[in-house]
Amino acid sequence: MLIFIKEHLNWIVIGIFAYIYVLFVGVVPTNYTVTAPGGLTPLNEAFVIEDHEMPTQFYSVYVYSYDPITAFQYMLLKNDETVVLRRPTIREQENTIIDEYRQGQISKSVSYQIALIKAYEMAKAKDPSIVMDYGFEGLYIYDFPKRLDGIKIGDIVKEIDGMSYENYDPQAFFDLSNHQNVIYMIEREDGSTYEFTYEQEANDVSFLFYTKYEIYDAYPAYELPGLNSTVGGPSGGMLQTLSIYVSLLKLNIPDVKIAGTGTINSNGDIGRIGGIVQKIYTAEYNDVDVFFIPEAHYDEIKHIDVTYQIVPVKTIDEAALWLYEAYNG
Amino acid sequence: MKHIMDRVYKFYHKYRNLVKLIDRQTTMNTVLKSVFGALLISFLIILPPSILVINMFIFTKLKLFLSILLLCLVILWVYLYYHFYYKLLKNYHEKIKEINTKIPKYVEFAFVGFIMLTLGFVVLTVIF
Repeated sequence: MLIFIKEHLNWIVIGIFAYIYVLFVGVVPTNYTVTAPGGLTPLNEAFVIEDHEMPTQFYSVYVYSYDPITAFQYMLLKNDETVVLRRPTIREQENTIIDEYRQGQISKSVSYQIALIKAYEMAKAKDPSIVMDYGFEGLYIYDFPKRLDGIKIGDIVKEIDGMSYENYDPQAFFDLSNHQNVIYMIEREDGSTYEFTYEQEANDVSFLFYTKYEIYDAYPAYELPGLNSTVGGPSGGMLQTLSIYVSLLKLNIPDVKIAGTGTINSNGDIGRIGGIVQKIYTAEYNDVDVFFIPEAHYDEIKHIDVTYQIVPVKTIDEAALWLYEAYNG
Repeated sequence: MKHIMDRVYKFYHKYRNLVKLIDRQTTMNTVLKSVFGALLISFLIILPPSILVINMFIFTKLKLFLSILLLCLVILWVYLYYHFYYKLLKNYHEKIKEINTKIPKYVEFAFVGFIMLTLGFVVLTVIF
């Protein structure tokens, strides 16, 4: 070995600096995070509805988030208009990969519940045999200041300052607190409860919540195999609702690829999402025909040349109406 | 067909004889040193391009291409390992310099490279 090193000493000395430089730029992390185009998730695999076929034309869109990136990745991406390079927020810096995974799964689970509720309610207006009985069951803790011990992402707030969720709708329950000095009664995943007194300190990130709904009864019955996938997040809500709605009413949709992005709330409003530009490019790379987006995002993406039709909508009713007029009108 | 089988048989015998010749010259100690030395050198050579390729997985459109490139680097690693193994062995034993090590090197590289290639294709098929 030593003989070999001696024989090639000149080359080794010349190459060592370049070698260390390459290793450095390829391994050492920067203080940047990137959101890049991802892929499509077929929604027919996410839901199973008894005696109904899920349409195969509907897809939600996911993007990749890399945090942190290396110096080499920064060099590659800094002039790429399809990605967003930025410094992570304080909230992102506090969260571990496991926290982010749990947050993604909770927001996806809530999105599935609301999608089912809205789709069944909309379909019920046209077919009274469809049943959906559900109720508000508290607030999932989605994020909190990580200096606090004892709280876990996914725990459920049942009382705020002694007031139970049972007497309020989600917004009114959330508004009970000033979220600066507050006593929460919280239920853990195993069903046990504990009381938590929160006093806000400077530099604390705020608590974030997701509404927990429980579906007590539904006809036709459903299953949610999509909850087992590792892809998380709430941004598939609009397309999930549309695909369930089309399945329940057995609407005829031609052989087109319909994708989209946008959260949905219990009023049927389509909310803003992260990474809209990357999702527009993802749709382009995956040859979609129609792409639904929240209307609030339209100005951000209208300059991008795409080969498919973009449909901006404010509510799920608008999206359903567009579908009906385009393919069943 | 028979002609080809004869050639393969002769080539195999030539390979076996060369390996026996090399084995007579080496000791367990020098073989171990050559193995670890070759592993280290080939790893250090293959590391920078592999890191750069892994970094480029951030471009999702290129995933298949980059995976194939990574597989090529694995095959290159196997080649480099055998190349440096015999080079180091020659440094430890002057007499081996007189023996034709090209045949054992390429035969062993072809054998291990084929296994790696098959494994790589299986993995790629499962992923994509």
